[in-house]
Amino acid sequence: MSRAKPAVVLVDDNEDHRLLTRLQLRRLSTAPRFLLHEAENGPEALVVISRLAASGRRILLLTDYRMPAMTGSDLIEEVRRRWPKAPVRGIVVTSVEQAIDLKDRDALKADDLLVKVFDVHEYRNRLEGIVDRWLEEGE
Amino acid sequence: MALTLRWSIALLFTVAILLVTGVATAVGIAIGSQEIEKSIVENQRRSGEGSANGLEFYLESAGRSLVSVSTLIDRRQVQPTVDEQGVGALFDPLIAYSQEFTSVLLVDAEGEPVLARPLSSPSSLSTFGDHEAFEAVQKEGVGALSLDPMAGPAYWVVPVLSTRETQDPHYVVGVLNPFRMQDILVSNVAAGTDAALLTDQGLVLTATDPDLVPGRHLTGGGQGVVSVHSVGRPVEDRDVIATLSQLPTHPATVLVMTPMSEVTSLQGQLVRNALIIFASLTATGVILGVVAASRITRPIDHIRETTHRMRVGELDVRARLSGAQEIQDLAMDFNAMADTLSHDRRELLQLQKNLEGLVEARTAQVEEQRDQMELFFYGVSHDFKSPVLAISTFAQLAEEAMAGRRLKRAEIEDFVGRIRRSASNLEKLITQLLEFARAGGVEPEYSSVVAHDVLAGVVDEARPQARRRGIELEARGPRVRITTDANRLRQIVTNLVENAIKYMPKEKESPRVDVRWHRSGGEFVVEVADNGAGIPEDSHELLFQPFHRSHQDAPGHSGSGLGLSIVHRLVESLKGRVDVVSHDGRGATFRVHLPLAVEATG
Repeated sequence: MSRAKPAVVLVDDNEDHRLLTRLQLRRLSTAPRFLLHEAENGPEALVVISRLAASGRRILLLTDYRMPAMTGSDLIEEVRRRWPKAPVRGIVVTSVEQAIDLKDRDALKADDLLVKVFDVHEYRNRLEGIVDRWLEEGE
Repeated sequence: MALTLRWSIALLFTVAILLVTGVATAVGIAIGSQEIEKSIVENQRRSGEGSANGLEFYLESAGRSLVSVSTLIDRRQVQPTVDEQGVGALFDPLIAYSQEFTSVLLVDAEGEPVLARPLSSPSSLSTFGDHEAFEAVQKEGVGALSLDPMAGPAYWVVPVLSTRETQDPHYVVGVLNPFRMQDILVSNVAAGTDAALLTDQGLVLTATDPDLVPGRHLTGGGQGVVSVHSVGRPVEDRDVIATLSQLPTHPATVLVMTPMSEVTSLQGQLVRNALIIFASLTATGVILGVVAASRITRPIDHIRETTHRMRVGELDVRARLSGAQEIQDLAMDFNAMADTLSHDRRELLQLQKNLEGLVEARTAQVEEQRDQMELFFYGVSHDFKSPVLAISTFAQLAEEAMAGRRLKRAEIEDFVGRIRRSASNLEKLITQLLEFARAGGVEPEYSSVVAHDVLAGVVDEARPQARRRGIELEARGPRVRITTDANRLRQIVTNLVENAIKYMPKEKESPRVDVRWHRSGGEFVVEVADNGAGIPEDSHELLFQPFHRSHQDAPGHSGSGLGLSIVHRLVESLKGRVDVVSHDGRGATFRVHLPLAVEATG
């Protein structure tokens, strides 16, 4: 299983933010060690993940929280429901932690929470930490 | 401590009975006493008459005149010239008449006793008629005899001879019936003359004769007890009751006396009997009073008990209807009051429950509003933060790119473009937030407007924007005049039209947006219909809440999520409503209902 390259799936309805995260991920030193897929919303992400899950790859799901149709928390829950055995690590990315729905705040289905910050370097460091831990776990 | 009602009534009853029986007893005793006296007088009368009749009988049967008797005794010499036959004849029939004679007394014409002797037995009367008696008188002398109470029961028969030296001697004969009377009076009561009285304690004469003064003792040691005030009528005194009976044919009178002691003894008996009756009546009355009081107060006690039970919380108890009508009325009133009370209390409890429910609902509402408010501010901060974040980070990235060894001009230009768009979005957001606040706060300014003018204007303004995106935009509707806030109407429709244009999928063939309006009943209805992507039905409910976005943001149009909530607020401020008809993939129609005219409000 682990021979297939792991994949990062980036989900955000805001194109600017998607680009920001993508740029940071590409600049990571570990960038060559994972594939990068993007989706604009939950349903699109599910299509992408279904393909990746079929190939048995490890997946790091970086999803925005506030999105139309489906929140990031809902998306992670749905992924776990559909592919319970798939090695998916779900991270919710948000710019305002408190904007997460009250009902989700206590029972967020994510493995971790990444808050977007104004400082690009800080943001990159945080991303790097998450990705590194994820990559290490797979080894 | 206050008396209980029961004992008060019993006491009252007792006092009343005491009063009634007391008065009745007193009257009874008074009347009875009089009756006793009356009956004694009546008996005396009958007895006197009987005596008189007997005397008459004697006189008749003796066949001689009593006058001859008067000749027997000379008042001066007291000569026993009367013959034995005469005297015997005088007394014998008398004895025959009354066997109870026990003594004789003779008095002279002055009224002084001349002979007094007890008779040892009725049969010994014969001895009275013999000379012995006269001899005794002779021996003792006129007036020398005195009565000796110690001689035993002194019952006397007294012949009184002429009271004066007149030709009309009178005969006074007394008769004693010892079984009925203890005293005897023998009197000569020729009209207007004398009366003689003899008692066991002495002889008392009283009459019109100046010598015979009332109360005068004719014997030395006698104690006069009777006064005869007049002749022919009953006489009364403290000590005796006496009755005079006139002989029918002879000038003689029989006086029958009864000592007062007998009267008082009879009266005492009467009083004793009356008191016994009084006591038993009173006792019976008191017992009846207690029983009656109990009967009267039992229903009251019941009501009192019921009241107490009710007071300690038994709201369902009711008083039994029993006893007097007033008490039954009281019980009925009490029950009615109890009904009202328990009804009121139930109502109160219901009211309390309702109130609690209301408070709960209200609290839930407030909590929900608070949650919504919280979400709203998080939404606001999130939507503000997004472009700011983009501006900040793209600026940093641009700086990094410029600082790099190789200048990536296209990249930098892209970053700058993104910065500019984000700034523009931020400005739009601020504008919309202000609109949102204004829609909820400021009162609308009503005026009469022609709907067509306003709506056609909106469509004309939006047409260039639609045309740029290849969208057909049309307005159609009658010239309806309505009273509304024209600016708000314009803003509502503008928002809906811009939304429809903004979210129209690019790949859509012959995309179009139609603005239509008409009157329907008392309402003015504006529809904004598109043939775009449509809205999933499950998000219709949340569609008009701030920061809710179901549309996929069109590229370059990061919506604020406030547009539809502004529409909603504006429509509500105009007392209308807005809804949406849409099926996923088949476009959406927003329908705004506004009143044609608005009632003036204060």
